[in-house]
Amino acid sequence: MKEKFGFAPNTDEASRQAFVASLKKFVNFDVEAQLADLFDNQLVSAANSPPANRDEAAALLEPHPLYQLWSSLTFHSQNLMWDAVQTTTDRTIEDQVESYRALSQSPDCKGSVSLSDKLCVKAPVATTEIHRQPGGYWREKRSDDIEAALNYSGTVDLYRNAKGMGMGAKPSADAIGQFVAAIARKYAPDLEPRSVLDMGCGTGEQTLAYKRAFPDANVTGIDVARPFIRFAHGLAESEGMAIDFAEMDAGATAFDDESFDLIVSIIMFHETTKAQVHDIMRECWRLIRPGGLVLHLDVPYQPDRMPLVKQVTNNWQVRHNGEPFWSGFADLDMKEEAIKAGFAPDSAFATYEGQGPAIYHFFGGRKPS
Amino acid sequence: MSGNISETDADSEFPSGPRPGNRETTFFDDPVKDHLLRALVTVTMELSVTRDRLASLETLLVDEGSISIDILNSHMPDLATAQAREAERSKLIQDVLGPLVKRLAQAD
Repeated sequence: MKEKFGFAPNTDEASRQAFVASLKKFVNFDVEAQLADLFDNQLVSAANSPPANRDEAAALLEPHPLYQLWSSLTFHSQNLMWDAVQTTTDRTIEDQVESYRALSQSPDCKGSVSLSDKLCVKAPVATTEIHRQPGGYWREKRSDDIEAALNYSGTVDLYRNAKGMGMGAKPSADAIGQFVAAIARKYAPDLEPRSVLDMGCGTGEQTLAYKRAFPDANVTGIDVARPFIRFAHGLAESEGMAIDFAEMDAGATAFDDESFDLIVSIIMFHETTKAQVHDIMRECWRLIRPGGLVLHLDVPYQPDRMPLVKQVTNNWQVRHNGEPFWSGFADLDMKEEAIKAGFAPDSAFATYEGQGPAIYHFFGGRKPS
Repeated sequence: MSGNISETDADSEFPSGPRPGNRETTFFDDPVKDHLLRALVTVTMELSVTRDRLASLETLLVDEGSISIDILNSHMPDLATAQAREAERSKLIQDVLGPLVKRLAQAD
């Protein structure tokens, strides 16, 4: 009997993963609040002059034992998280690969998966273990491998809880995709997309939301990580949804000009580079049809919105947690990037929208009809 | 395997981050503090997991009428069970303190 497709912890594994989520929430909220209080009410007032930038703030914080405690706990919580999900993956991976094969080879297959041996995976995804995920996103250990994606998918719920989003009713698995679809309707209420492209679709969990939101549209998900593209295909098929997935670089796709009415992504850009940001935005301009909407979501950590202490802890993530472009992305003006790519200044945008306690950065533009 | 892997990107200069597979970066002035803290957190996690499981087990057994809480509270293991548990305890201690001992035994 094959297991249901997807990450499936047993009782003890689920408890262990729940503990890591609670630990991360404690570190992210309680310890960071104490750290902010220490910085604002003790370190700044004791300094000869108030810190003027992130580096000066870091110089005050880094020698303090509370900052060292926060760093050590944050680092270890990431170790524990990957250990905790790997246990589930190790126990289930062979059955999951079998399930993937059965789904992808079924005559009832509704969508498709397309892999490319010509794809060149670029840094930082190629060179960094993003989020310190052991092995990174793209490495394969076996034929038809989905292990990296299975591991990653096990952290999604855990991160939601760690970010304080697990309170009250449990959000649906595709909640953030539903949120992006709702923002698309808000920004382009007249748009009824016939074709949707989800860039950097990862596990495909959120790609499903676009098919649910726009059931008559052709929905395509692309990503550079082969285990994720397979997993996304398996997930869509297990849900009986007709979605096409392709192993493709968002900055250099194989699609014809003006192929899509809606192009979206979720937390993809901060895992690229400045050069790739330019390439992807130009590609969006090329691919979007007249009247279409490009709508990207990413982290809201632009320095002008962040207190200095948060800038210091965010920069720690760059140095120690496999987020090499986090600060580099936050320093970019994404409305300006959209304009450089071809969007008119009055249709390009860079905004912020909230979902529960979380705030996200949205950017993109519309091509004139 | 996936197509080609680009090790460099002409327009990207990343700050130095953790090398792949790095699990041992420390942040306190004395690395022993980091390792003891991590051991303590790991123990707390396993205690939490055990509490969850015991609570589930007791709920199921009491609900099905298999045991009473009073009998459970006065239960003592037989010799073989006690020996098996001793082996488990020794393994737990090794799991908790072993990494610290191993790390301190390594030359820096």
